[in-house]
Amino acid sequence: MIRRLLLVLLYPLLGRVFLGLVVGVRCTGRKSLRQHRQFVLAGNHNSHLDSVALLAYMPLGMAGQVHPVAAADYFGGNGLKSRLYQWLVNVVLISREAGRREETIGRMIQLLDQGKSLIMFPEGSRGEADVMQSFKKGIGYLAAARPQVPVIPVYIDGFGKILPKGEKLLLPMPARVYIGEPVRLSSTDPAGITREIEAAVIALKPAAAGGAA
Amino acid sequence: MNRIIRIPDLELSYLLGVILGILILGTGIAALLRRRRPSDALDKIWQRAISWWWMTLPIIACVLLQDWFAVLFLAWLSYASTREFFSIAPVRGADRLALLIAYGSIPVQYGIAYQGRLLPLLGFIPLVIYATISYTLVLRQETQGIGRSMALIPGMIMLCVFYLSHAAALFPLAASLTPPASGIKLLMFLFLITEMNDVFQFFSGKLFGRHKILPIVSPNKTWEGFIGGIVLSTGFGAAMSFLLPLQAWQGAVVSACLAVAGFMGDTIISAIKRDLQIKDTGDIIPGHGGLLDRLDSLFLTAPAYYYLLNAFLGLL
Repeated sequence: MIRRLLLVLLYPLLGRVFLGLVVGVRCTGRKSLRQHRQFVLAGNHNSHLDSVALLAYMPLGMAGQVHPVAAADYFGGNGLKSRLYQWLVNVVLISREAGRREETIGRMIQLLDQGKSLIMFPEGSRGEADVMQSFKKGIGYLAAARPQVPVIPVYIDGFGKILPKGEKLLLPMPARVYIGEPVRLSSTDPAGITREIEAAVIALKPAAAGGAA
Repeated sequence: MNRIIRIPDLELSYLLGVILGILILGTGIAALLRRRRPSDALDKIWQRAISWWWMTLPIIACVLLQDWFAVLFLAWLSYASTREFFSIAPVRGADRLALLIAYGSIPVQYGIAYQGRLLPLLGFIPLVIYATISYTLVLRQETQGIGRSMALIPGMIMLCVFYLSHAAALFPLAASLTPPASGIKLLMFLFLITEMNDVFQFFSGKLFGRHKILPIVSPNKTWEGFIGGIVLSTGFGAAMSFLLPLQAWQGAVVSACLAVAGFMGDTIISAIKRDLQIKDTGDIIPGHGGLLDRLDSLFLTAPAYYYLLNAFLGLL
C-alpha cells in the first residue's frame, strides 16, 4: 500500500512534472493507454531513462501494475542497487540466454494472467543513440500466447542524448515519447508478429510519419 | 502583506485590460478572416492566436502573483531556451559536463540578478562561467572541435541567461528608487513592447513590405516592416508609459530602442537557424515553433531596457 502510494507520487505526479519542466520531455498519444486495462508496451531502447519515463506516463490508476521487463544478467543480483531498482522501478527480471526462452516467456505470461501490464524493449539492449536494432522474437512468442492482450507500440525520441549508454551524467534535453494505437496483428507465428510490432514502432518515428507533428 | 498573491492596482488592471483586449481583438480578427476565406496561411495565424492565449497565462500569473513567480518564470525561460539550443547545436559527447555547468549557472545568475548588485550581475557569467566552461573542456583533453564548443556554449549562455537575467534585475531596480516603483510594471512594459513590436513588424511587413533588409539571413524581413515596427512601437510605448516612472517621451524613446534591439535578437537567432539549416528551433509552441523562436527578441531587449531605464533614472 505504502509502496503503491509512493509509486503514484513518484511517477505519474512528480515524474511527469520533472520530465516536462526540467528534462523537457513531451508525450503524445496517451489516450490509447487509457482505453485498455492491460497491455504490453513495446518500445525502442536507448537509455536507462526509457523505462522510468514510460512508467511516468502510465495512467494514474495503474501504478504498481506495470512492470518493465529487464535483463537479469544486468540488473539481477542481491546488491542494494538492483534491489532498489526492483523495488522502485517495479522491474521483473528475465534471462537473456537463448536456451531459456520457455522459462522466460512463461514468467511473462504468468504476469499477464495476473492482470499485470508489461513494458518491453525488444531490441534487447540500449545500443547506440537513435539507431534501432532489430527486435528479438520474445515479444512475438508472448503476443502469440496471449493474443487478447493488446500490444501498444511506443517510439522514444531523444533519450539517447539525455542519458546515453555508458554515461553517468543526466543532461536535460528536449525529447519526445510517441505512443501509438494497438498493433493489429495479422500473423500468427512469433517471427511474423515480431516483425509487425517492429514495423509499428518504426512507423511512430517522426521522420517516417512525414515530419514532426 | 500577502506573500503569494498580488492584488492589482489601477495601473496593473489597465495593463491586464490592454493584454486581454489585444488578445480578444487579434483572435476575433483571425477567426473572422478564417471564416470568410479559409486558407493555410490563415490556419497558421489562427494556431498562433490560440498559442498566444496559452503564452499569456504565465504572464498573467506574473501579475497576479508576487515577484518571486516572475523571477522563477524568467529563470525557467532561460533554462528551457538554453536546453533547446543545446538540443539543436552541434555539441559533442565531450561537452556534457560543460553543458551541465552552463545549466548550473542559471540559478546563480538569477539569484544575483534578484539581489540587484550590478558588479556581480555583469561579472559572473563573462568572468566565472566562461573560464569554468572553457577549462572544463580543456580538462577533458578532447581537442577535436574544442574551439567551436568554447565559443558555442558560453555564447548561448550570454544570450539566454546573461542577457535575459537583466529582466529579473528590474525588481531590485524598482525597489531602489525613491519613491519605490513597481518591478512588475517595469517587466510588463518590457514584455508588452517586445512582443507587440514583433507583431507590428510582422504586419507592417505583410502590408507594405517591398525592400528586403537582410535577404540571406531572414528573407521575410523588410525595411518597411522594420521601420513600421519602430514607429508603431514608439507610439504604443508612449501610450503604455503610465507603467514607468518616466515621462511619456522617455517611454517613447525607450520603446524605439527596444524595437531595434528586438529586431537584432530576432535576426541573431535566424542567422543561427540558417547555419544549422533548420526552420524552427523546436515544437513546444504550436504555430510559433520553439522557445528560441519566440524569445529571440527578448534576449536583446531585456538588457537594452535595463540600462536605458538606469540611464533615464540617472543611476548610470
